[in-house]
Amino acid sequence: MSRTPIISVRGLSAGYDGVVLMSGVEFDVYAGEIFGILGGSGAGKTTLLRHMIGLFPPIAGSIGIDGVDMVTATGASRQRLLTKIGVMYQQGALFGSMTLIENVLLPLEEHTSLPRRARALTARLKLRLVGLSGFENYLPAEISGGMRKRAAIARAMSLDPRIIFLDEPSAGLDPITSADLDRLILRLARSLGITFVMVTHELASILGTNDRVIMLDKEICGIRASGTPRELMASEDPAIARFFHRQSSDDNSSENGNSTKQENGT
Amino acid sequence: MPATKPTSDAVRIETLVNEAGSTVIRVTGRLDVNSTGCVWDRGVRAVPGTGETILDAAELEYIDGAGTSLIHEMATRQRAKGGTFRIDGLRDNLKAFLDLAGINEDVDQDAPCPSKLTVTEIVGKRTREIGSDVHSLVSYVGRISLELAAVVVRPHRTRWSHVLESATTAGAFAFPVVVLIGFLLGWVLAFSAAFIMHDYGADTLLAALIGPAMVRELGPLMTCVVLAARSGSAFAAEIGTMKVNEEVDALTTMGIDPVRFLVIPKVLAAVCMTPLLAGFANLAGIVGGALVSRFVLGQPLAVYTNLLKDVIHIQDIGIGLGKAVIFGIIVASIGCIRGMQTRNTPTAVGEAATSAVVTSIVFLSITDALLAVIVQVLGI
Repeated sequence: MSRTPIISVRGLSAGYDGVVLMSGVEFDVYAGEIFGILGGSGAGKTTLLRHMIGLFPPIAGSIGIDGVDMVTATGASRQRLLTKIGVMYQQGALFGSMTLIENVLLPLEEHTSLPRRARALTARLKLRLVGLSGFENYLPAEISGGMRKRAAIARAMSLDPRIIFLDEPSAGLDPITSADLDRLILRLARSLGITFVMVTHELASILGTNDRVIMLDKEICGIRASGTPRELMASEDPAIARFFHRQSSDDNSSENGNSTKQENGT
Repeated sequence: MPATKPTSDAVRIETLVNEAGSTVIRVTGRLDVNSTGCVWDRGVRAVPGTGETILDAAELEYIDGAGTSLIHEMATRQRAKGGTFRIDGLRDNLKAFLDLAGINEDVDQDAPCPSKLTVTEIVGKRTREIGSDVHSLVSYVGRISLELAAVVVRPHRTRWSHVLESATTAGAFAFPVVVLIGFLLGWVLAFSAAFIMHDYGADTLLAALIGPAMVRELGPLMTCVVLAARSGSAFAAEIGTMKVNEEVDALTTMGIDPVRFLVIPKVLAAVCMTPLLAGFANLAGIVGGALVSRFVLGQPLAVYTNLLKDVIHIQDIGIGLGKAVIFGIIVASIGCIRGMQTRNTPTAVGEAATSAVVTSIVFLSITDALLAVIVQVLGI
């Protein structure tokens, strides 16, 4: 894995409406890795993610994505930046009035000058990549939650972004579907070299996919720990231990099998 | 839970003043879910709010969540008015329960008493809210205007299929109701005036009332009120639902401007369809008047139509349809803006739809009044 940071966050104060959730946040994400943002409820994981994808500006600091600051970028440079990232929202956020293929086509239509046939073919290939061949003309309401998430990944990938942000990919999925999704993410990261940044608190996903993680903590308003999931799991810090061990005792029976299998695979 | 009778026998609250001048509230017995209700008012009223209040809990045998609430309420009231509150003699096992519920020395530091707002504060707060709402409306109107200008410069950037779709659902499908209301409006207006006009021998002049009133004023206004109720609310609900489902965020992060993608097609559809609908409403209203003239007043149809030709000038029609375009932009824009402003709560979409209709009608009335003055000053 190359060691060029593709995302570098510096001196970030995250929050909204004047409420500072964390300050002095600094970390790098390297190209091609699967990077996890962990933390309990209210720690500001999703807020941090929303700053990184440019939905609303942080209170202070900079978020460099591929050398351009997301916070200050405007106009054409911001547009270019946005085409380099893809986002999968928690519920998928597929456009309900459009079929899956239309959803995937939309960014292509808006941002490229490809001929119609090329666009359609690209969109089909993206859907095939996430295992949704044959569902092109279904509406989001007609497919299952796991399929919606995969379709959302296909849409996020339609412009071949270098980075894909995932907001709680396993939320609302059963362990098996969730493990399938993890495998898909791993495959895309390893074979296409896409960088993934995911917000999650699903232990099986963290152990199974993430190369490195940071753990946010609302008590210290910042990053409590960073490293590989294994390193964090071995940590003596009671707050971190609580996060990992409470989870593993909760998820014991159903998901440990999956996570072990995943790790053997990597 | 054992079925204990709801009774105040289980617990007793006495108030006395000790030699140091502090109020001592002595609680004896079981302060549980069955008994607390019976002594709640007495307990709360026992708190003087000033000086020192001591809760003597030496005789307290048992306390649960309800009892804890009572003590919490007493402590809060006492401290809110500047007094101090202290619990004495509480048994250790009960103390643990109260500590867990957050009643000890450092209670309430994080829970300041929710002071009620005064009338002035409410007025001030509302005024600020209205101010920021107007600010947000104006800035959206600015964005929409810029994007509309961009449509003229770069028409290929617009999703014309979406325009057509909105024009069909918001425009074409509204045709029956708009025509019906236009017809009834003309009919009612003519019918109300007919008898008075007849008394003054003005039977032949009905067209002079109905024609200009419908064409210049009522046709466009009523059309857009119907559209506000029918389509403005639908726009708000549609975009609001997309907002709640993060679809609007998804557009933003795809680098697609939600205003251009979602709002502009609807506004363009309104610009195209409102003059058409208003034209049909005018016509229907005039037909309504004609029926009254013919069958209620018994005038030949030619009397009505000939006068109509004299009283309606081309600029009247122009002003009416021009108004319809402006009203259409207002209704569609406000519907979409309210949708875009939807917050992420279960009732938000409903609120957005309601607010779209109310705000539209308010702005329609204001604009109509302004336009009436402008037209008068320009002498058209």
